[in-house]
Parts: sequence; C-alpha cells; structure tokens
Amino acid sequence: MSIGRRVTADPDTNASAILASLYTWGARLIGGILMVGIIAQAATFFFSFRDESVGQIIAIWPTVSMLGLWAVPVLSLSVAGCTWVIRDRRDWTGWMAIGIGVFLSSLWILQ
Amino acid sequence: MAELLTLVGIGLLVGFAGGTLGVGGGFLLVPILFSWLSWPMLASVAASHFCGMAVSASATGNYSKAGLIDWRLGIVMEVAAVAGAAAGAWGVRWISVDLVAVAFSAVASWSAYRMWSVREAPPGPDGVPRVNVTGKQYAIGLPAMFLIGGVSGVLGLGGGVFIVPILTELMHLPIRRAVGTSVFMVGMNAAAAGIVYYLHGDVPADSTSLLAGGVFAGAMIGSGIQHRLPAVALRRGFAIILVVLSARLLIRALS
Repeated sequence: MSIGRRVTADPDTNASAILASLYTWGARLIGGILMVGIIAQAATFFFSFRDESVGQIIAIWPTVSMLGLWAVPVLSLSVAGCTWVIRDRRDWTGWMAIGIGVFLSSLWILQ
Repeated sequence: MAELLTLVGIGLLVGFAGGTLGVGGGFLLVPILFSWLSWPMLASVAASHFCGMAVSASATGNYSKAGLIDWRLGIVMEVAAVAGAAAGAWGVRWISVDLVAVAFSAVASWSAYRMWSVREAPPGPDGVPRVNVTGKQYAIGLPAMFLIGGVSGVLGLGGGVFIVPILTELMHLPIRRAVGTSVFMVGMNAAAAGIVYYLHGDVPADSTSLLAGGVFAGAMIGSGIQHRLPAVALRRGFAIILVVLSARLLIRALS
C-alpha cells in the first residue's frame, strides 16, 4: 500500500476524523483546566477570595495542566493508531502513530 | 497579580503568533523569558516546550475543522524528525554547535527569501488547495525532516520554524496546509522534549501553567482568524520570522 496515495487522499477520511476528534476533545478538556486554574488564581488576587476548594484547585492545577498538555498528543496518537491498525493491519501510518505514542510514553518510563 | 497578568499576556501574544504561523513559539518565548524576565535558560527552554504543546492542542482543532491538516503526512514526517532528534542528541558531542548554527542561519535566510518571493499555485476550481505529495517528494522530505529533527535538538529549537518551509518548499504544500500540519507536528516534538525536562524538575509548573493558559487562548484566536489572512501575508509573516531566527543563530554562533 502506497503511503503517498494514502496521504493524498481526502483528509476527512474516517481514520483521520478519529484522530481529529480525539485531539479536539483533548484540547477542550485541557483548555478548560487551564482556564479554571487562571480564574481561580485571579479570584484570589482580585477579591482576596480564600476558600479551601479554591486553594486545592490552585495547589494541584499546575501539575494537572502540565501532564494534561503532554497527554493530548500521546493518547490521541496511540488510540487513533490502534483504531487504524485494527481496521487495516497493513496501514503503515497507523503503526507509525502507535510507535510515536509508545516512544513518547517510554520517555516517561525511562526517566 | 502583576506576574499573572504579565505571563498570561506574553502567552497570548506568543500563542497568537504560533497559532497563526504554525510554530511552537519557542523562538519568541525563550528570549523573552531569559532576557526580559531573567528566567534561567533551562527553565525558559522547558517552559517553551510546554507552550508548544499548548499551541498544538489549541490550534489543531481549528485547522482540523478547516481541513488543513494532513494527519498521515504529519505522522510519517514526524517519525523521521523523532529519529533525527535521537541522532542529534547522540551526536551533539562530536559536532560543532556553532558550525551548525551558522549553516542553519544560511538555510533560514534562503527559506525566508523563498517564502517572501515565491508565489504558490492558486487553489483548484472548488477553492480547495491542491495537494499532491509524490513518492519523490517523500524521498526528499524525509531525509530533510531527519536533519531538521537532529539540528533542532542540537540548537534547542522546537522545529516548527523549519517544518513549514520543508512542507512548502520541498513537499510543495500550500502555505495554509503546511501551517496546519506543522501545528499538529510541533505538539509531538514538544511532548518528546518537554516531558524529559518536567521529570528532571526543570519546569517551573506554576508560572508555566499561567503562560500555557495564555498561549492556549492566543493560539485559539490566531488559528481562528488565520483563514481570513491572504496566503501571501502568511508567507511574508513567516519570512520575517525566519530572518529574525537567522540573525539570532548567527549572533549566537559569533558570540
């Protein structure tokens, strides 16, 4: 199967749509987390707002947002790659997507 | 409060540039954090990788909706770039970083000239940009992406500033499609480098989260209005960035 032919195909194929959808939903989630954290921090400054739940959000927010940003490409590629390969085992780019996802995850494990 | 507003404001500007031009924004962010806000160099580079992830996560949705991302092309190219980054990390002790910087300063200047002066083919009758990546173009583009991956690692760049010229000049993608595909690719590059910095404790998570929040919002705005800009304006904006990068690389090598 020619990679060239696959790439020149309509980008809105079902396979690509899966990756697009995963990226979009991942981005919405991490975007929401980032905005909640910024609003929580701004609230404490502007209104001298002190609350236990806001304090907890501010405490865990940086870690959650950092890991969330990293997880968007890793999980999207891994899941989309698996879906492509299940549909067609000869799909080279599906295997490549899984490979990149595994490589990025292995960096975490190796550290 | 001043820190919150400063970081979110810087993030908005960098994210807007990144979302509009398909780059991670490290070439802007690292000098700002290092020279202006006096962050340590390691923390500046580490934060810029997370902001690259934020640009990618935020802008990819808009470019995807517009049908401007070649997902499969991006994945194939990324494999070469990741392999190049690994080779670059391995070979950095045997090569002259200054020599690489001078060579890529020249490459950036040439790319800027091409971006500024060359007009791309008009879109097809249906208004959709023509995309026809052949095996021959892969044969040229994959080694180039391998080289860029290696050099980006050596020079501490995310790679977006070189990915777009490769996609337009070597693979002959229209500028909008190149920018969309680059946005997707810089997220993977940044994820590979960023997590290593994070696990080594080099990322100032509190401040970087504020920056990333601004970058996320800026990239969403930038990628949302990108389709309203004429292609020639995008090419020329990118050419200006390449000239700035070329000058930076040359100054770095000579100093």
